[in-house]
Amino acid sequence: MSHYLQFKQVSKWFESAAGRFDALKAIDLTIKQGEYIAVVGKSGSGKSTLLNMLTGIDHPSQGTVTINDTDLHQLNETQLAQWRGANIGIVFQFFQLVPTLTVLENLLLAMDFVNVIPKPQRRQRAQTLLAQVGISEHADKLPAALSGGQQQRAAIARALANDPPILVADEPTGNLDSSTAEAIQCLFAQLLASGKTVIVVTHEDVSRYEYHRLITLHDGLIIEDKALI
Amino acid sequence: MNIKLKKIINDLCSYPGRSLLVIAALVIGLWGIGSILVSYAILKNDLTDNFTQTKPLHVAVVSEDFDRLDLQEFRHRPEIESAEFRDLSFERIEVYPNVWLPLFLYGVEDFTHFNLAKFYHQAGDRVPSQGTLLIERNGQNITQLEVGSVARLQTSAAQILEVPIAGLSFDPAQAPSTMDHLIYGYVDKQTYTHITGKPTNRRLIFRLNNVTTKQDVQTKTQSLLDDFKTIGIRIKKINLSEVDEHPHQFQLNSLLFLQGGIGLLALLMGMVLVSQLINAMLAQQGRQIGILKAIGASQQQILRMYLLMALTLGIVASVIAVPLAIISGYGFALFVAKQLNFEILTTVLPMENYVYLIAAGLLLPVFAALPALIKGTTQPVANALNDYGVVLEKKSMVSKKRSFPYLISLVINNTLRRKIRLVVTLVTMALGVAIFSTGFNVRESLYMSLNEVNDSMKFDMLLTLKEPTDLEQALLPFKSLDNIADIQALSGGHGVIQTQHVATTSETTIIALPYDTDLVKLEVLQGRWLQASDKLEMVVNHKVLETFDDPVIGNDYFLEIDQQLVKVKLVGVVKQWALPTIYMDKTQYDKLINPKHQVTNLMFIAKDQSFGQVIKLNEAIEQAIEQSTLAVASVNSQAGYLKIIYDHLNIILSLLTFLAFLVLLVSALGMASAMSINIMERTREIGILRAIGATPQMIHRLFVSEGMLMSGVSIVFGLLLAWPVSIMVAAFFGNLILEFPLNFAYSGSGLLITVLVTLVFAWLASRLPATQAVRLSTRQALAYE
Repeated sequence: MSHYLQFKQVSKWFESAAGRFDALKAIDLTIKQGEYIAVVGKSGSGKSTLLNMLTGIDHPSQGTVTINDTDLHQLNETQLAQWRGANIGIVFQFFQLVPTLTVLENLLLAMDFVNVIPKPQRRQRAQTLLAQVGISEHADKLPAALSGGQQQRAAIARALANDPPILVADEPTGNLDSSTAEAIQCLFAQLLASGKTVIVVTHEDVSRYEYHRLITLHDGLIIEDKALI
Repeated sequence: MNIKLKKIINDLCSYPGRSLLVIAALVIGLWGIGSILVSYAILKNDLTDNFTQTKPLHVAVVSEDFDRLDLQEFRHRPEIESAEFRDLSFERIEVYPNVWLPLFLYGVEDFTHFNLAKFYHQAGDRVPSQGTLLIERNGQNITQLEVGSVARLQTSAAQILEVPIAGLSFDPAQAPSTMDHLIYGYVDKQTYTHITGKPTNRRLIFRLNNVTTKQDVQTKTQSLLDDFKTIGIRIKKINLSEVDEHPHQFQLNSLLFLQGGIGLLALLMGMVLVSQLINAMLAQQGRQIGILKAIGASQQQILRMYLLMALTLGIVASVIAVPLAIISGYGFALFVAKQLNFEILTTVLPMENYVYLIAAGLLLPVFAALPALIKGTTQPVANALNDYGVVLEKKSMVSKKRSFPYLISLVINNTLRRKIRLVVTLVTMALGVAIFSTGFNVRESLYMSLNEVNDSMKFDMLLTLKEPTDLEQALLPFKSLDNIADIQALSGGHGVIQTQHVATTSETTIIALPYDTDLVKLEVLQGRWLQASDKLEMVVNHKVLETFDDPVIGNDYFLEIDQQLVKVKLVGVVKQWALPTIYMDKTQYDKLINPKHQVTNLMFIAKDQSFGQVIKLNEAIEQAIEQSTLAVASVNSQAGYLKIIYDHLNIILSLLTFLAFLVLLVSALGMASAMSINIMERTREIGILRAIGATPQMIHRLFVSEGMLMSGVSIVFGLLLAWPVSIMVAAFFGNLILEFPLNFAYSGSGLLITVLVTLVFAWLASRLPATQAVRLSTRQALAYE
């Protein structure tokens, strides 16, 4: 496997009235295509910051993030948005679906923005993705009409709308019951099979699922990076 | 449907209350601006068009020698556009029993074909048969006379004539009867002579070719007058008019200026209001913008989407506001037209006005939203995703001093959280308060100025005789009247100050009165009032200054009175809202000009000066005149004189008050929107407060207190701002209409009304969003994103 994603000496700090807070401290990290990675750590360890660096949602204070030969720090906001839409699918802890659009429309909106899927194929693709995550019967419902698990499936389907090679999930099962969480993990496994890279930030017991690699953060440092299989 | 468009529509429909508030704000703003634009488009041309379509005269010349003039030949002179004899005599007409008003009676050559100074048929006969009269339609508002009734006229020979009213005319070139308190009548030449006892063809009116200014008129008229002189035509009186400018154009100009000013203010405040509300909508969209960016939307895509939202709001608001603006704009123009007695000629609004209205409707929300949108869409994704409303970034002013109870500290700290928004709200509200208060202050200033006018003329009635009359004869009819404390007689006549414009300058009224009279105490603007002197002195009112090319105090002038030239020293200028008038000492005047001590005016002082008794005295004087042989030009009460001034200003002040109220209303809406945003941004905080034990009533009280605090500060700033603004506005209107600034007065009742209305508005503006806020359950408030 080639180096697909590379963090070089990435630091992130925040200035506040209380002084400087270092969220990430000179992290080096490489991820290969097709890996299934769990990122764990206590609250405040830097997990979400790492995720924000990885998705281009935030910029490092120092260091570089390179994904598939693209230096994220060299992209402006518009380029980043377009790159992100095409290359990264994000699944948020609280789903973050657009509440005023139906589930199907949430997917179509993501495709409209990025414009990589040809227009005539979009609706069909959205329906296929919803079927893939098992909620095709809820396609025309507003997010509020769905259960938490269904909303998270919809969020995963939306993350896959533009067929990105990388899927990043921030505690995707943190608000779900165990059986729904299992189903979501199964979905991720299916995605891995199709060659996608999946990075999951989690609080849960990683031994329950078939992660390839475990990265543990503490006080902004990677204190453990081990292969699980 | 396009997904982005659907999202916009769904977003707007998700919070119908807020969307409706934005649309309402837009509708109010557009309606106000649109009404002003529409009425402006109509009014700016229609009064002038009404006036110019009558082919108004440029010059009126009175002479006893026009028998020597060949009118046909005169009409063919290159500088003459048109000319005819239109005689004019000042008579009196009884408008109600024992209530008489001046009658401007015109002897008309041909009612079917006008060379100039055209007027229109309105009702009844187009051409009055011999012995009958047409009256101008606006006069109907101040008389019970109507077509078919018989008018009683009092002639120069002190006779009472009964003349049937054959019809109504519409003469848009005349100042409105309702404002100038006089009636215009039109008769044929024979009837003119019958009523007035005067020969006809003594007043020549004409229009000149290629003139654009009064100066042009003056120059061309001068050469005509020189020619008249060579053929032996002696000019008795001459009047020059402003070229194609209606006598009350100044009022319309004031209205349009006022409309323009308030319209601009309404536009700015509307922008602020819409901007605040769109900010409120976007405040809630902060996280969504983050999500959209996270799933790949670029800044431009998001910007376009939300601009489309603003545009959608603009379209909806325009659909409602534009027709309303057209209806109310026409309505207002009709109101003004009725006040100034002209017809609305603009039946189809020029196309560009529709373009302006629609452009304003569409662009107003877009421009208003743009700063907030740019700010919202340029926010980094991470910040947008973590946007949970306001945070207190710095230590608050109040926390340093802990001298307030914690609830008041909370109110003050909350109010200070969004400083820019607070400043915008305070400025908007303070402006509203200032403008509203100014409306009252200017009104009060007018009342005060009128009171000063009243104090300067201490008599109750002023009788003006047609001709100088012996004192005994003049007093005789009134000797037996009750309720008369004193009658003082004045002398006078008409004269012309010899300046370089002598040939074309109108005659001016001369009033000769005892220099030390207590009954006339006019405010001296320059120099001094009359005093005992061996030399003949004069004091003029400020109107004389402009008529006679600014004569200089201290200089001697030759005054032509009854073809006699006397040297008079100008010693002072007084403030007076009246026609040009010269004041001289009666003793000096009688010695040189009036050796027979004849009188021209009588000033009556009532014993009982209550309004009702003065009106009764007026009626008694009129009855006495009717039974006498005294030829009277007019009988005016001071109250009537003040009413004429008041009527000239009232239309403008009414509009000012109404528009000021609208401005306050818009500013209150601005405050409501600011409160709405504040509350919405703090929905989670409300949840927290409730979770720790705050009751909905306490939260309600907290927000209402914040609103009242803001309004209190606004009132203070607004009232302070109102002071200089009121002084400027009072000076502006005074100078424009009365030609001297109104004396500034602060209205106590206006202050009270302003404070009360503002507090009520502020209470409503904070109560409504606060009520909305406490409707959410604690769980809903805590889960609010």
